[in-house]
Amino acid sequence: MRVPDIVGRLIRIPRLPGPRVALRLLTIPALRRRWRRSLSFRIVSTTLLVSVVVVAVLGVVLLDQVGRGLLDAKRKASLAEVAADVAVAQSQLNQTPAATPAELDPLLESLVNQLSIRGNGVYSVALLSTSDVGTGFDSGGVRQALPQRLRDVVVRQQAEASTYVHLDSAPPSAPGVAGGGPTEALVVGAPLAARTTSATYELYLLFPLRAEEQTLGLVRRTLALGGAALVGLLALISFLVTRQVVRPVRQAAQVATRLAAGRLQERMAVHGQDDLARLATSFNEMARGLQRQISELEELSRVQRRFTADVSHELRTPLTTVRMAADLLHEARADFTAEVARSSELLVGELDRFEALLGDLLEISRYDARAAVLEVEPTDVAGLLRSECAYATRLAGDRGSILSTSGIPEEPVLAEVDGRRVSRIVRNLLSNAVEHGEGAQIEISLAADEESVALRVRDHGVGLRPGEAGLVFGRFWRADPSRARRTGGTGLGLSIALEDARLHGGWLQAWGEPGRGACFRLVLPRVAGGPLHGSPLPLQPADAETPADDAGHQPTPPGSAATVPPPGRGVVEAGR
Amino acid sequence: MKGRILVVDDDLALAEMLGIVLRGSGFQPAFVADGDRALQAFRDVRPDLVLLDLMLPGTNGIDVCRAIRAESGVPIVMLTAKSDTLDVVLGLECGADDYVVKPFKPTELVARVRARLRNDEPTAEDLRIGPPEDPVEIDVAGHRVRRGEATISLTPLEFDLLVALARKPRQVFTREVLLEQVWGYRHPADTRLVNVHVQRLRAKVERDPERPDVVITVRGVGYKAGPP
Repeated sequence: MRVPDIVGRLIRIPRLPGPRVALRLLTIPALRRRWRRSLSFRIVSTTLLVSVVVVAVLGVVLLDQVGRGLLDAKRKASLAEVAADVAVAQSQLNQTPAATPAELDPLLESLVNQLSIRGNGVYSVALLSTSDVGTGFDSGGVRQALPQRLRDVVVRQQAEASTYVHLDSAPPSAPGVAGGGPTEALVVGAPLAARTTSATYELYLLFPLRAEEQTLGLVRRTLALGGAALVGLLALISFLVTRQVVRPVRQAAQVATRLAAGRLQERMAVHGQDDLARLATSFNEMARGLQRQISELEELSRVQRRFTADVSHELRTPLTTVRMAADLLHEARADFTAEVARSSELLVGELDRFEALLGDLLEISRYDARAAVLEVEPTDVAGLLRSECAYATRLAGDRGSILSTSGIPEEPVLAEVDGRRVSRIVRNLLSNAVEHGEGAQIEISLAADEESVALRVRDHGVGLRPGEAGLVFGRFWRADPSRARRTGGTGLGLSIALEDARLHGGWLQAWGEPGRGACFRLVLPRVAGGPLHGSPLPLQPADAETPADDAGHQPTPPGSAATVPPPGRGVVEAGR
Repeated sequence: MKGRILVVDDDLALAEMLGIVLRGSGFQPAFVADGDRALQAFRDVRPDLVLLDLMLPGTNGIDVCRAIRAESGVPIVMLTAKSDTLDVVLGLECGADDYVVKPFKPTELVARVRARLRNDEPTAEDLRIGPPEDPVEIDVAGHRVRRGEATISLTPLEFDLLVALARKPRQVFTREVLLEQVWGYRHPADTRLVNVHVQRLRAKVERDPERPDVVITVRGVGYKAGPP
């Protein structure tokens, strides 16, 4: 047949997955996944499902209608045949001179033969005697098929009646022609009466419905085939239509993904002037806008970073000259008057601060430009801490502070860190403690476990007010702007320390309470880039766990910042 | 004492100040402000040491450094505003012996200059390092280095580095110790100085710088004289 060929070829147009792939694609989770992820799969399968239901309902209704129509026509034709046959039989019965039933038999037999010939294979005939049950003539198989119910109706009501029966095997349609397989059949019965003997008879005609069944079968097959082809075509059409819509949408999604990944020059292709083209156009406009804004921002931030770095560099050359001139004056101060000598001292002292500030600014700008590089090597953190403390002792002595280093273990504590940066963190923490320590003792401790090393600098100075633990790492932040600066910190030290800790993937946290001092804890992974899950040292020192009377501030358990953190920041930490 | 110093710097105030400081310390400074004229000035002045600013108009400091190094081993000390890795390493790789980061103190500068001009009384000494069958021979008094038939030309700094290693064969020198002995730093300084100059030295004395047998790296510690 041609139609399935065409259908087959149509179906083969899209690339069909091979049998094994198809099997894998047909597992329930795979289907569920495709349903969730593929718009076209959803549309095609919905179309398929709905059209199958529609076609099935239509087919059933159609088949029913066609079947009914066929049967009705057959029935009408049959009844007409029966009427004609009854008329022939009745007229012959009326004209016969026979007086006894036995004499009638030859006539009845000839009637059956005659009518059977008239039937020409379309129907079989039986003439049965009502009174003499069991006698009668049959052109073939009618009596066996005859339901008793029908006979009862015909005899009782003396009227024509019909019913459908099922034949296990069709009677031979014509003498010499073999009967067929099982089939439905229509049986019509009508009463006859012989005037001379006043005996009654029943004439039965059996119409096998084989032809109708065959027609109906053909219709059913045609409908099924047509329905399947229709469903297939609908699926194909919906696939093609959705592909037209889905493809640009998918392309848009891909382009959006690439845009999000930072490839800002990505654009969608615009074809024609339809809705999809408008989508692409507005998408591209959005991308252009984004690209422009991002590059403007990038440029702005680049210019700003560059400017900071340039300013720091450009300042260095004149500063060098000033520095050398100042040092020269300072060395010769013995020859000057007291005022000039003191001026030269102030000049040199302030130049030191200026230099420190410039160095810190440059360092911060390097972090902002993400140009800071970590250079790790196995370092003895205990040794480093001790030597930094030794250096800071001199500074602390000027302020009356004593550095207590009993919390530093004697044995080396090795960790893969950038020694220069860790030294700088320690230096910043120590000078911060000295500056805010009010001349009280400063305790330094160090501890390590398998994966981390922690060091803590505790002072007993003014402490931190609630909320300040997060602010201390801010650039140029000062607890009390009116407080005199004495050690000449730049205001960037803790910011740089935080950046240094972050570069290591470590934590730098602050704890403090008013009047009870402050505590800074640095936690670093022992292996560069290693994980950090906890700290061998609590952030809150052990002596600060009892409630503070003066501040009325409720402390929290060790290991967390006792200060109330600013919203959204929590304990201020670097890194993870 | 050797004391002619060529100052290559475009900042006139700084150059003048450098002059004052250097003269005050007993050196004789000469000046050039332009990278393009630096090499000519170098040939005219024949200084014992060059103070070279890395940021110059015309030919930049790195190129000047390379040009001077191409014809002389005279010590070069860079003045740099940038302590960033790249800039300094680039300068060192081009042959500068040491560097000072602006802003520096006069004492610091003079200390660096003195360290480079330090002229120990040469001792009559012959040293050999490297594999016994193919050693590097050093004539300390004559400032000559040979390997096989070839005479190797080293800058004074490279020579000092090689001699420091060769005097105590089999002793491992940390970078800090080398910085103190060869460069004269008394406090921790940039260990990249050592790394870069060991590379430069190896490029001259080793048969295969990828697999050195004269200056050996001891992983995690420092360097020592060969054989391994």
